[in-house]
Amino acid sequence: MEKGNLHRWVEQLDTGMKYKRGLGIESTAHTFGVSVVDERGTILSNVKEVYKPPPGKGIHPREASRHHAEKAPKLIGDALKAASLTIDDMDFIAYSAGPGLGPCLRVGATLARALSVYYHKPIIPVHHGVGHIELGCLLTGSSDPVVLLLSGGHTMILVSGIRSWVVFGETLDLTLGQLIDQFGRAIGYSSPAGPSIEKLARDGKKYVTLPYVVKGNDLSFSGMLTSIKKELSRPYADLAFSLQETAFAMVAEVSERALALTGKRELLVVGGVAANARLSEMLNHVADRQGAAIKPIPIAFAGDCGAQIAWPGVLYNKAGISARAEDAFVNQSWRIDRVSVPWRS
Amino acid sequence: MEKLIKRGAEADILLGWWGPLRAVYKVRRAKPYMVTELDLKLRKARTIREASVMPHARKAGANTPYIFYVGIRTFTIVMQYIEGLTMKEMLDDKPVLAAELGRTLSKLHSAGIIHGDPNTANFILSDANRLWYTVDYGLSFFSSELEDIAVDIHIVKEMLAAQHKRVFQEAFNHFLTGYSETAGHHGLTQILKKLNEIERRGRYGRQLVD
Ligand SMILES: Nc1ncnc2c1ncn2[C@@H]1O[C@H](COP(=O)(O)OP(=O)(O)OP(=O)(O)O)[C@@H](O)[C@H]1O
Repeated sequence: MEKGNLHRWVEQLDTGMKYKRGLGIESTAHTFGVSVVDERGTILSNVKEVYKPPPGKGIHPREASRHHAEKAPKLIGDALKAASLTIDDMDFIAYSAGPGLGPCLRVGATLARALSVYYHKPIIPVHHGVGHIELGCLLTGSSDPVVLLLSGGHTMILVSGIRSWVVFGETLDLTLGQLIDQFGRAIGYSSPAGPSIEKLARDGKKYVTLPYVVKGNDLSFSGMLTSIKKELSRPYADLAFSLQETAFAMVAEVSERALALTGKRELLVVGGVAANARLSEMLNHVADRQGAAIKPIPIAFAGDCGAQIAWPGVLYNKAGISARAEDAFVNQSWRIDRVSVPWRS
Repeated sequence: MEKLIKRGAEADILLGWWGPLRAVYKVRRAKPYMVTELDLKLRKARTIREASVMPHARKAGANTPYIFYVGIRTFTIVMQYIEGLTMKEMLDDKPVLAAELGRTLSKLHSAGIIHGDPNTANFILSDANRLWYTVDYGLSFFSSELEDIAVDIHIVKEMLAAQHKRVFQEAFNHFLTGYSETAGHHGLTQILKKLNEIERRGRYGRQLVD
């Protein structure tokens, strides 16, 4: 036997014998992603396709779900192939059960259910937000962080509670992602508009005053959106700049508050908006001032992906938790603080 | 001469003297990560707000430190030093203390004052006279709107759940009991209904499509 082959064979034997692993399917909104992760936390594969609505339009749930349904079979095959495994090698099938868009969620759940029944695998519903957080902890090695969750459906600060994640502060109306997307749409960008707004903001020079609303540890962005829509005669770059400066400063302030009040030493930033360089810069300052370490997650895993579902799948599997296929649900508005997270105390 | 005793999210708290009196210097320092216009605007507004609401709060029946000096251009408030433990340090062992938080907040609300940051760290039990003092009025404002009152209570609930997780339910019940003892013109039932609505808006079914 050739050396390369032997090596590979030993490695396969190694993973094959010792480590449990499972398939994770993410399909809450724009992204359909599939990933295989093993119990050591090694991401064996992570593939995805992102649905892009036409410029100036928001996500259309049924169009997005059609996109996901089309891409799903190939992506599942790709994820297994990239991990050099077959579906038989999986110890469980995990899927994103919410919160998100009904039609999109159902694509993932239906597939997971089918695979589970056909191949006799335990099925595990995973909360999308918990997925972001736990994958973030895995990738950054955080143990007990203040978490800033900035995904499409969440703008929250969380800390670990008793077998759960507890909301420390959150938006009272729009999420940061929605604010950015809706502003983007008002100036003709397609959603998600984050990256294009970030680019545009770099050319902004003049700061336009926008409502800055912090209430305790909570935030409100709806007034800012209303205001900025009335200023559309100004240069878009200035508006994008001012929106980022104001909204991010609000997020930075409540993050600083959370660090000051809890005395925790790690700040973990997850979700799509985490990729924004200006926000990271601000949060670095915040962490510095509070003597905490900022834990940015690799850009490739900041946005939605299968690994955020597969990894919690591993954790639930270890805890002996799964659902019966007929009980595998979707919940469009699943509250993160109602999710049982047995590995956190 | 002044000694830094606390670094809050928006201000440094220094302990020093005002003439012969022990005094706290609350200094809102520049935040290097904010654009200057926004930073100056916020620091000025909050300094003024804090200094102007505190006397009203006292009139409403909430003990607050006396203010000795306000420096608008230096964003500094010099006030009476309240020596003692904060409720944050005591609540986990004595959840019933939350009733006091409820009583005080209710008095403020009845007087049309929204505290804006009703955190247990902002309630100090004075060693000198065993009275509870409320500090940190930088986010406070005047309003009698049901919505604003309910948000203030939402903040309490969230804060108890996140920072006092082991005694959360018990403490929140005590808080509500204390609050209802001095109910303002919005009855507690009405406030709780609004609270429920706010929580739904926040965490349930946030519409991804809009
Ligand atoms: N007059 C005072 N006497 C004694 N202690 C005080 C006084 N004022 C403030 N403190 C202590 O310092 C802490 C921080 O003060 P304060 O809340 O006013 O600052 P802040 O920066 O606005 O805080 P936050 O982090 O809540 O924004 C308070 O929680 C309290 O424990």
